[in-house]
Amino acid sequence: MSTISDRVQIGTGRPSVVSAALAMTIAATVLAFLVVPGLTVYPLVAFMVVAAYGWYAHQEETARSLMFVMTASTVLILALITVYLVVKSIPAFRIMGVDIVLKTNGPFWNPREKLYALFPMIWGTLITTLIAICIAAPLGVAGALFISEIAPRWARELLKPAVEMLAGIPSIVYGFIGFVIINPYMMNELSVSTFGSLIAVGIVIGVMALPTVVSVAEDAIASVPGPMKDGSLALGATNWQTMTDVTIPAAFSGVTAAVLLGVGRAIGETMAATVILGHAQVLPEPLYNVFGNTETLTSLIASQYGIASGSQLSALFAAGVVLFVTVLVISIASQRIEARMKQKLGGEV
Amino acid sequence: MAVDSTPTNDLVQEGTGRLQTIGYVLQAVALLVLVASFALLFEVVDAQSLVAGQSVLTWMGLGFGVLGLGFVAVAGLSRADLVESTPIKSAGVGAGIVYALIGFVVVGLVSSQTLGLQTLWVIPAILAGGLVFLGAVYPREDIGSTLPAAGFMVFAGTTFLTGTIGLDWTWQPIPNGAVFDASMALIVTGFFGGLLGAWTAARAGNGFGSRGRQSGAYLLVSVNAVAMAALLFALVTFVAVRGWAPMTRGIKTGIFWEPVYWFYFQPIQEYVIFQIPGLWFYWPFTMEGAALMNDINGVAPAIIGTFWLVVGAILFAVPLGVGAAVFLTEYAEQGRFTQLVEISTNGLWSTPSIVYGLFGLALLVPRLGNSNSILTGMLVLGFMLLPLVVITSRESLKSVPDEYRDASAALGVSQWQTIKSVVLPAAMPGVITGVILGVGRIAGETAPILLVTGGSPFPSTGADIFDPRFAFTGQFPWVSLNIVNVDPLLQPSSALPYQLYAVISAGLSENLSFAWGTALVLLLVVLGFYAIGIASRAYFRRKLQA
Amino acid sequence: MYTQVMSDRTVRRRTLLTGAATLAASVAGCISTSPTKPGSQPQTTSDGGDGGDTQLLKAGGSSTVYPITNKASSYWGANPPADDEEYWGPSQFGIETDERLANYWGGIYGFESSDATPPFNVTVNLSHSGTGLENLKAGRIDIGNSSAPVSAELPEASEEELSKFTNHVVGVDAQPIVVSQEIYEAGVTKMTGDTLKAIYRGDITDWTDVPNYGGPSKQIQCVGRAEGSGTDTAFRVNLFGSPDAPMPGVDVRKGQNQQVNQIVSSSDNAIAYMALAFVSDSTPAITLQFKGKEFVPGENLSDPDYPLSRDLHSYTYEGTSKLEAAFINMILSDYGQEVFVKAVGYAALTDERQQEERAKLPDQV
Repeated sequence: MSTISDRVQIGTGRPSVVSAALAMTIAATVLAFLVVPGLTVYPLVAFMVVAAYGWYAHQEETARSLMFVMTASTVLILALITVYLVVKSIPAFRIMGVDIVLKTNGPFWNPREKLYALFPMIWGTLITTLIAICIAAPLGVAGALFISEIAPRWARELLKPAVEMLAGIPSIVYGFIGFVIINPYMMNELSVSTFGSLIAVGIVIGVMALPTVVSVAEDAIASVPGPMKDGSLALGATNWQTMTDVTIPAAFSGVTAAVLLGVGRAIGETMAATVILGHAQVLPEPLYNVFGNTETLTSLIASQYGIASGSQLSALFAAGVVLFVTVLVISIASQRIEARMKQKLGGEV
Repeated sequence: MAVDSTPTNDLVQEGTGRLQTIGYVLQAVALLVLVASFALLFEVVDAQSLVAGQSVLTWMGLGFGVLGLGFVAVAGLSRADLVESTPIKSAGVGAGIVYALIGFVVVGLVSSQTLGLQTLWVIPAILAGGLVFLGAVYPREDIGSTLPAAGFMVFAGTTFLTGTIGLDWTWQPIPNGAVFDASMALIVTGFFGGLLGAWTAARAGNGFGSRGRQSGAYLLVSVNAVAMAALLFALVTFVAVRGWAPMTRGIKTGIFWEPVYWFYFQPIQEYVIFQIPGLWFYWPFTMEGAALMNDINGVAPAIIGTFWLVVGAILFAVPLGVGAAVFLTEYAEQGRFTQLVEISTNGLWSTPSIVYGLFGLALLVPRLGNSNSILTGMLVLGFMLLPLVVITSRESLKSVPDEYRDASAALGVSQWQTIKSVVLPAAMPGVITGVILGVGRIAGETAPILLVTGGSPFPSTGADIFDPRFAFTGQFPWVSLNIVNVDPLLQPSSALPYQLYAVISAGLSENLSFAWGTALVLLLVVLGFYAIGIASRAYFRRKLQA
Repeated sequence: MYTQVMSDRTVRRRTLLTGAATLAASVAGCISTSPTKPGSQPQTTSDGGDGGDTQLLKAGGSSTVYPITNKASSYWGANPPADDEEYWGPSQFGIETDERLANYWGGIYGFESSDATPPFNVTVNLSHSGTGLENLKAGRIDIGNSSAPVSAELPEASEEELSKFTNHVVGVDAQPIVVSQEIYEAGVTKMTGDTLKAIYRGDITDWTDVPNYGGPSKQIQCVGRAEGSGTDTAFRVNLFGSPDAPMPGVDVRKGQNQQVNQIVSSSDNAIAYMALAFVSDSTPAITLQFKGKEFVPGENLSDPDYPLSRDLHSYTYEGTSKLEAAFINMILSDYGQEVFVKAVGYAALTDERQQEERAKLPDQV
């Protein structure tokens, strides 16, 4: 899509004073807010004055610069999040070194002795995510297949909004239901010895990640070009054979991206885990005991932010850094895969 | 012209009569077994409860037996060509692996539990798996896909019917883990067995071959989809049923008469009062806070808190997001900068909410009054809303056809004017839809609010932000006009998701119905936003296509 | 053309909106949402809390002290009149006044109010002792509740920093040990201190190893509190002798007493240390044997010998302002001890200690 600026000349082409002034004032505001919060008002007022003048006198130019500033803000926010998380977590890394993720025998977490090892939490996150993906991935892809290929029109109209609404149920409501229904069920019917277990959290998070997988996979499957499927049918293959041998391989990158996004969602899930689990920072015994009761990275932060100060708070930030890095890597990976899929199929999604 | 007497085959064989009927019957039995396992899971019935004279355990065992015998019969009929079926040479590697896994698990369980082999159970298990695989793949499809399933069914049936897994059986697979009893065994076996039986019956009933496989696959996928829809329905209904009574307790309505104008009428020496009817509506749960003197405690402060948080987040995120989207689609060229922006937008979108909360705690809280406040919550939720607004605005801006822009340029309108008066209005519906859906998401977020806004768990009054007051004063400038109180913006507040979390933390022994009511209010608010967003998206899509 | 259609629709939309707005405004005048039907009876409560300029006293912290301060703050907010025997009734405590509750107690320190609106508002947060004291130090709240002394909660603080906290003891908690009902009914109605230590250290993990237990083999679910809670600190100090003592046997840690109560009553194998105010039928307290003496709940737990008893503190920072003193004075009075402390289950202060605490408050106006 070509932009208007290709065809119409705007302005006189020289960098304008207004843009420079806008950029400087907004940079000053941000800087002031970060370093000397009390003085933020002055650059902010200056920015508004310049913007008002520019809007009145050179609206075209001011609009463009303002939009540029707004766009840059997204990058700025991400950068700020990264920087602040890392900076705040440095004291914990300094105290613990690499042991913070590598210490594999207990005790693990003792704030009074400044002992902060994240291994049980990482293990807990890993187990719950695995269980969640075992539920969300196959059922999600199957659901996506149903919605885009098998369902009659009326079922599709009903099911797509239904899946989106399922995605909308807040996680605290899931956590509440898990706490009130699943935990006592596990305790009474299955005689689990603690109130709260990793498998309960895994099941709940799986149900939460399911709609994400379904929506994205459905988009991917629906974007496979019709002619490809028609060709297969013309050769005498059944619908199902077309799906398994033509559609899914063609949409494979998209489906993988969907599963990766589901994984990202499952890793970042906080409130369900916080409410359902009991917060003992120990490793389940034996290690593969899915009925064990330990902590995940997210529930650690949510349950301890209030009592933490000093080095303990820094350790919580360290957990946040681990989370953030993991999810960022997964997100970039799924983005790359989706871009490749668009390239392969040659169409806009 | 001579009548063509050569027999014609149908192009697609529809309805193979006897076989299809048998297939349907077996599918029905298998689905019944599946339903029974769900009934056991949700404790509608118990393993020993009696249904028509026999315990549920016995009925399920019988079901398995029927399935097993039915599959053997189908295999025999098909092999002896007594029914029309189109099996191909082999059941396929996929089916072979499924059956092999089942064989592995069953023999493994038997050898480790019944025979007591500690680690050696792997050997007979692998052997069994291999044998079953060969048995499924090697013979013709109509034998290879039914007999292994029949074997499993018969095995399960006899195990339950003969009491090997009786009503007082227990098993603890993982030390310190859960203890499974007969009900659990029935649930697991019923679930997998029912699905397996339905799948095999669907294949068999449609004559094997590729048509049979399609039917089998369709059945499984449809069951899955029905289950997902049923799950949503069940979740929402469950919360609604439990929460309806506490939420609607004490609602009072009525008509009251409001005096509007009166004057003194001399001849009758009385006041004449003109009254108009007014509507009186009192809903305690959403209009009251939690205070001692209340008959019914409510969540009004939480609703007010959520309202202000959402308003603040929208005011912050929508201009910023739409501006960024406009720049990306209208002004910028594809290059490093746009790629960077795309990466960071996606990164922001997938960042966990607790990380946003930590960020707010680290950056904003010390700079905005050093305590939890609504303002910080607004900003953090705005950060969360931003990527969603950018993404949906970009999509809706891209979907505005180029013709609009070209026509405007042809008239000599500058780029910014074009955007302002042509492109943006056309893209507005998509933007609004995206904002509504985004608001639905952030209205339900708890973690950031917990960290940066949360205040006392059972507040009695909400934040008094919108407080229009107008009065004449005695000094310059002789009027006092107050629209918005800034002070409450810097105080902690409650919000609906936080309120639910606080109730759970405060202990549910006395507050359980309050918690259900809060959950229902939260669900209604969030799902309401989603419903409006989805409906508006469908509406605008239809208008665009029309 | 597109623009033509747009403007038509805009006009129609505009008239519709203005029509709806005027309708809504006119209807709004006729809608009432008050608790009682308008015009049917005189309003009993006024819309308190507006005016925007009333001061706010913020308290928060320990979940153990929470029942006391929360009840006090809700009574304060309700501001019942003097003839309300159930909630106020000053004559029952030898106080001569006919003012409302908050007006009386506020008036002692110069905070006047003449109507149903209290002279200032009080909010109480719920977290735990460590958080409360941190927030107090940072100036975010005015009163920090704690169920362990500040020196144990903030071990990294220097003497000088600790001296800035003023300690007000508002009640005494005898920390009971509770077990799940099934365990109690299976015979565990008393326990020695050594058994308790062994359970919390992780040396005993099955109920069959506990004397007096007559039921089937069950794993012990050992419930603790989050580190940083006063209850946890006090438990460690009292049982093991040091606030840093490790307790590796703990399976579940919860942040507040309320959550511990929930778990013990929903499970069938739990043991926990809690606060007196939360003991109930589904969380029965057991008798403890320490150094040959038996401490039976309900009888002699408030004995000074009971090793697991602790003071309940409401700390203030850098002295006690008149605002804080007005509220604390109410809790320390005979009325407060009876209605807020004893009524929720804790032990009241002895007369001697009560005098001592009241002497710490600034002079009354």
